[in-house]
Amino acid sequence: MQPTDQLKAYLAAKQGSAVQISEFRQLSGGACQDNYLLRMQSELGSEELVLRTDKGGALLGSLTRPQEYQVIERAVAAGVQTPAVKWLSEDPAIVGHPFYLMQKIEGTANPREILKSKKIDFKRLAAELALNLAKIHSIEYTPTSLPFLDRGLKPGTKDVALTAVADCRRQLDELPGGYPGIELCLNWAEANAPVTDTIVLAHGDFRSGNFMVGGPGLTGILDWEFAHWSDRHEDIGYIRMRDWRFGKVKNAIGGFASPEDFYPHYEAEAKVKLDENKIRFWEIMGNLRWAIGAAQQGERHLSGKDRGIEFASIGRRVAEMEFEAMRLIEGGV
Amino acid sequence: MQYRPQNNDLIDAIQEFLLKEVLPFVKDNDALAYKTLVSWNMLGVVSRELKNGRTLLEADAALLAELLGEKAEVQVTGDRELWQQTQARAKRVAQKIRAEKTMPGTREWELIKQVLKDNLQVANPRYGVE
Repeated sequence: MQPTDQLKAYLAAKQGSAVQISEFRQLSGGACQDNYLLRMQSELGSEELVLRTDKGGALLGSLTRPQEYQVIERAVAAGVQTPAVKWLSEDPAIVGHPFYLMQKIEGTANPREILKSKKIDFKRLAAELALNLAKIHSIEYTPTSLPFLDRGLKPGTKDVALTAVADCRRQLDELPGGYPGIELCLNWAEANAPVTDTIVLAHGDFRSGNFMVGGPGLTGILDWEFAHWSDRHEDIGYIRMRDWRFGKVKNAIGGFASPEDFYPHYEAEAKVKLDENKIRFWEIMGNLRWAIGAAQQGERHLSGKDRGIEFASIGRRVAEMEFEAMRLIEGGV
Repeated sequence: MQYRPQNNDLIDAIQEFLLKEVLPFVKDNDALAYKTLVSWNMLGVVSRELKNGRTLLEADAALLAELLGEKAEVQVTGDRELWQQTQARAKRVAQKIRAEKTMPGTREWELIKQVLKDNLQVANPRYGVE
């Protein structure tokens, strides 16, 4: 994508002065969204921003850009370290899809680069992530807050876990293939669904690759497109998933830290005692959800909507998460 | 009959080219370096599938057929046809497991784990399934 005259006019109207775009280039982005670095010059000076907009076919269950924008505003207000959003446009004529602009932060989100870094203090990074996750989870469910996320889930029930199982089954039904291992695990999950005490905002994709690291530690949490109301243990189970350890399987938190480096910091900030059984349940659900997501990405390639070797290859990775979920149910560590 | 080199040798040659010539050239471009490595890895998948795919597919066809109380006619079926039959069986097994609420500790659980181990021998043998 090139910066259009419409984009320049939009920026000028927002900025209240003439604007030049001196740099515009794509950043390595997610599977569903495109991110561009935009350097803007105006009489107010030079400013670096990130423009985020949709790719072709979004993954099922992901938020629209206007919804994501509201979630980020809420997270920033709760004190979460995440790039602040600046302007939102729902006009598809400007860059082809709705988009928003946000603050540019320094660092890398590349998990392999992070794991190899000699500059990062990994215990500090784990503590910062735990602190930020507790802040995200400080946003508790009310029917009027972020109403587009409301699914009528009740605290003190198994609603959250059983809805997650039902969502997985619905998504499986839309896939051409059959996944008997996932089905077995979903039967187990349905029979072992835990009660959710408090319904909180979950990031929904809280893992290496979705946070930025610069210097010794965290510079910001990214990618809110899967945010939803859930159980706090979902995000914690998710960051533990084997696939997000990028080969360093002994380090349960993102391949770089241990649960002991993470849980106490979370508990201190959230003033909640974490439940290991619930974390285990949600780690299993995370594997199932990502197994289904991987199958969906393979289908995106085959459908022609988003062709690319990275999507095609992910389709062949389903069995890793499927097997991992079965291993965890059997009590594997 | 095709002449030498065989299909696996051709794939090996492409893998070597990607790793030794392409990767050093694109290493400063994160996205291209990543896609080059993914391509190298996928060629490994295809290579392993060419070597062992048929044997593993026959074994899985028999396991899935057993779960449906059927017999897989693996000897007389072409590769593509057997893959399609096995895919269809996996779908039916999945539906049966959901309908019957099959749980861990059952024969189904053990057989499906074996099917996944067979899958990972091709898709990612470094995964470590033991």
